[in-house]
Amino acid sequence: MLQKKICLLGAFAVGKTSLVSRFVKSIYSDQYLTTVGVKVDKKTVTLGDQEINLIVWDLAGEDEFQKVRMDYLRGAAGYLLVADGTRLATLETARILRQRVTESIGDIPFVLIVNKNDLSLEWEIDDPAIADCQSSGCVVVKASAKTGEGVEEAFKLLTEKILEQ
Amino acid sequence: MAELPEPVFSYLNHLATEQRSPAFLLADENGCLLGWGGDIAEYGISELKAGEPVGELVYFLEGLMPLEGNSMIMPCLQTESGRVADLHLFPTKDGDCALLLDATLEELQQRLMQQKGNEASLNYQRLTKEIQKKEILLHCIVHDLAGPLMGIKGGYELLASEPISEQGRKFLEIGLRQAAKQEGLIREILNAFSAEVESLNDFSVDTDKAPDAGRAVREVSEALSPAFAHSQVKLQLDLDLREDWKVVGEKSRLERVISNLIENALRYSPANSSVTVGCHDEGDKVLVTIDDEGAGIPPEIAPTLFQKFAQGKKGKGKIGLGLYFCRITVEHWKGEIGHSPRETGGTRFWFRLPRPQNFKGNTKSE
Repeated sequence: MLQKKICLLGAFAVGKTSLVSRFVKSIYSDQYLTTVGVKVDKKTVTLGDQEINLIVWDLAGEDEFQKVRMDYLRGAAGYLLVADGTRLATLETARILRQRVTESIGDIPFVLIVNKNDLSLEWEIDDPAIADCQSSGCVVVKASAKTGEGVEEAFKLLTEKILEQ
Repeated sequence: MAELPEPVFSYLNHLATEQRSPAFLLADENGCLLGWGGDIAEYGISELKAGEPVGELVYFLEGLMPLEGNSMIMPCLQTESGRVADLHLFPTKDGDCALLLDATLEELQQRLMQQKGNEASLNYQRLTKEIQKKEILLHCIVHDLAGPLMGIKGGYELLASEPISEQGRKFLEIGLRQAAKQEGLIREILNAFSAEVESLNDFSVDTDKAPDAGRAVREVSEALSPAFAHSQVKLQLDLDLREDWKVVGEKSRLERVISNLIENALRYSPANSSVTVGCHDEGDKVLVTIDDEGAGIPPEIAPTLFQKFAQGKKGKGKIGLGLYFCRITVEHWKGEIGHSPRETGGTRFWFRLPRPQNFKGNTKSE
């Protein structure tokens, strides 16, 4: 079976671990638990008649105390950039991380997830900001790890982009 | 590196082998498994088969091998088994090695600290947002207070055109004065709040659209001349209007800043004194000064003069938002603002703004 490594990157507390839990185990918890280092999970997805084993690396979020280590991305076929719709600054962190990934391992497929769509009334990332990202070549998916909205779609979109390569 | 004596070496060896559950996998130049050993089962690794690609046998090694001569450390890697290990990858003469050393305790300690730090950071962000929301709510309330006041003032003005007794007219004038005072206070609050909101907005750094500080000084001075005449204070300008005084900013807010500073100088100027307003060329910046001949700023309020709700003991009927508005506006345009005592007595208030052609701010421009 085809096997691909993908990584999740973003600022701290944007919901990377919750997105992985929703995608891999179909579970969600409201409790915020920080990630140290990296958590590695796997899940098999089916695209058409092809099965792909996704190895999902959930990297510790970028914050003022720790930078994302680009070593973790070695061998990755693609990545998911995650921002929190209720915190505008996390979009800037995602933009910086994208730049750093490109500098470290080159231009590989990625998808931007703007998470916490269940809190859309509190969003600071508005449609023009999302349109800006799209115009700079980002595929953007609004998602909610809490409700599951957009989660499967984002992972599948990334897998499709990887297979197109 | 200095050679270690045997007891030290033994101790280190003991630390690694007994306390960190070492396990290793060895792969060839194609990334296929050559061998393995140590506490491999501790990390949920089983069913290994020599000759197979390592990434297919141990899922978290997918994409990592062959190492192509590179060494790297991936700290605190947590696998599906829940075990946390530091993953060391390094080439050896026998093949590429993936060494796992238990890091469960380190991860736990680091996580506890990180959790506290991140929670504090999130709480700070939430509180900041909450304060902003409350300030906007307060702004709305103050704005709503202005509506009925306009009605009261209008009513008084209509009443003034009616035949009423001399005593009644006196009371009416008191009412009108108080309504005007209340209107001034509300305007001051609204100005400060709108400046905070506007501070998120764009401003001009385009040389053609940028406001001219000299012209703004002249226009504001003309508008305030009746008030100066009434207070018997002389207002004089010290600037050459033929020169270019263009600065980064926005015209109406620049005029409001100048107006607030000149009004402030007038408020603290004794009769028969002067207020002098000038523009000075500082190369890539313009310095605007407002000099008065008042009693000077009391030392106890000097450090907080530009903060919200700061005011002198006398109060002078103001609530202390005018100078705050000036500061946040000027700083938003990457300028500076301040005050200093004058050698000849009185105070100099000043602000300095960059000229548009030299602006290197990081805020979006029009």
